[in-house]
Amino acid sequence: MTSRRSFLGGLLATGLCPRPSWADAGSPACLSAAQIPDGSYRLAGLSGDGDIIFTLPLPGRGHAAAAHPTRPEAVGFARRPGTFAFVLNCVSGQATTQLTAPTGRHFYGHGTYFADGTLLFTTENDFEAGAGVIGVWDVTQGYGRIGEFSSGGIGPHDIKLMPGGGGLVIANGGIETHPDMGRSKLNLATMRPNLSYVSTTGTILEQVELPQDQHRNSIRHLATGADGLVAFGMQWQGDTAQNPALLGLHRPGEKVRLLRADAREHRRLQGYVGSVAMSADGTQLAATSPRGGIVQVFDIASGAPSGTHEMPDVCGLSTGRAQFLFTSGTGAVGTIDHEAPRVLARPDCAWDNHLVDIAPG
Amino acid sequence: MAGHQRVHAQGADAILAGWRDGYGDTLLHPDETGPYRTGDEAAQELFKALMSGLQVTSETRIGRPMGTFDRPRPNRAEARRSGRSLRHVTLSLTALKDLGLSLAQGDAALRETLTQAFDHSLSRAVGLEDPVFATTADVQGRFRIEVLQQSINQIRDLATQSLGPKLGVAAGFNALDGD
Repeated sequence: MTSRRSFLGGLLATGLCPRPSWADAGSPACLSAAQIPDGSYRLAGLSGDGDIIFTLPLPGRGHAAAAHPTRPEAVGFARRPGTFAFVLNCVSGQATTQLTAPTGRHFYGHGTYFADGTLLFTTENDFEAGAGVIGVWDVTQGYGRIGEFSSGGIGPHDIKLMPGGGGLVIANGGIETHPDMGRSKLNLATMRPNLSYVSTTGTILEQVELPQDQHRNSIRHLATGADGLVAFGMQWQGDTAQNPALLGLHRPGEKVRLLRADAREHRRLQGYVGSVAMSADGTQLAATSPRGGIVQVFDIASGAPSGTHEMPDVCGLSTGRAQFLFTSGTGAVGTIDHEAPRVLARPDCAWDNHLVDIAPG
Repeated sequence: MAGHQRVHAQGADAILAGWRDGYGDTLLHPDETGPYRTGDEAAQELFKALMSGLQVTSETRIGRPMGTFDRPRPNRAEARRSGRSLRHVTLSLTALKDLGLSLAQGDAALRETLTQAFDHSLSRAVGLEDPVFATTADVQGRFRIEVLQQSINQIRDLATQSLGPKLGVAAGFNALDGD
């Protein structure tokens, strides 16, 4: 009988070595950074059932990650205002490359690969100019920095690839910071966040702003649907009493739709959305608030809320399969939709802000 | 300069009027339909004010003129030309101490710890003898300013770990990260 090992050995002998794929890393559904009990940080691959498939060491606290579309390779970004990111081989467990932000730039903690995996785009701060920048890295040349372009605003945070090769969508949070002053917000009075659609060469295709009375609503996190619908989650920096919507839906060329539960349920978000995700069938939108310790779910077609569920320190959220997958700072991994959350596993770790989907191979 | 001062004075008057003619009442009388449903929620708003004040004092009032070791920025100190940079730090710490102690009411041990932490920072500030943070560029001066900054960061840690949970502020790994 031909074993996998002898079969692969034979392939190697013929020089027909198959490229490693995510299957070689155990076919994880998502990635997340975590802190483990000894205080150190790791990047984990999670199955759709919430099992940990692998963990790799990270040199410091992570924020989000980006998963290569085909190769079992991920970039783990340092927490803002970090200047390092690490490319990790998810089969060998080795950090293969270190990305260092150029002088005068720091990472914001998010990035995305181009669909064919040849380029990586990272959100960065040009902090002397107080301007948002997208860094472009050539994956085929060992992640060499090959350029950068304007993000279309200040404080770009999340970035996603638009489906069907439609370029990039960027959440420009609008908040100016400078690494000399930690995370202090320097321009709250004048901030102007926007959602920017940009080609992969940096041409701004479309920009969307909210009305002036919501200029303190920082657009931070994104989710994209297969049909090109973009969902965004916001963090309110203004008067608590104003309590505006924190979730929006937008399709290029159309108007923004804002989603908000009734006043009582909405207030439980505490002005802060941590992650957003759209369901695989495109019918539901979910948002987490670690401050409120809740997940809120909405019906996309009607915009009506379909559930508010309690889950302490919940933040990470991904499309999952039939239901959303969530993670929390208390270690919980589970599924959720309009019905109550189901905790599948609770490993001894604190899951960090975001769950990152890996494209099914 | 005079123009700036006039604008600041007008701003301060407007803020005071806002507290006296409405917002103070809103905080003191939470109700189901107002911005604060419970006394806890009103206290959490004040806790946020305490934490923002400490952050601005540490990271902006002190962090800004400090810049980096290789590139100190003494000219960026707040109200440098009025000679009030350090004084703003002292005034802010004094006001925040009052706020922190009010929020810790009913917990004598926590009030004592907070008092010690604020007094420690205030004595560092008083002993600095550098009213506009002009010495961020020399090693010894920079060290003393950094010690003051770290002592304020210790108050921030203390408030996050001890005062926040007492007021029902979520203190989780992600809830505190805020990004």
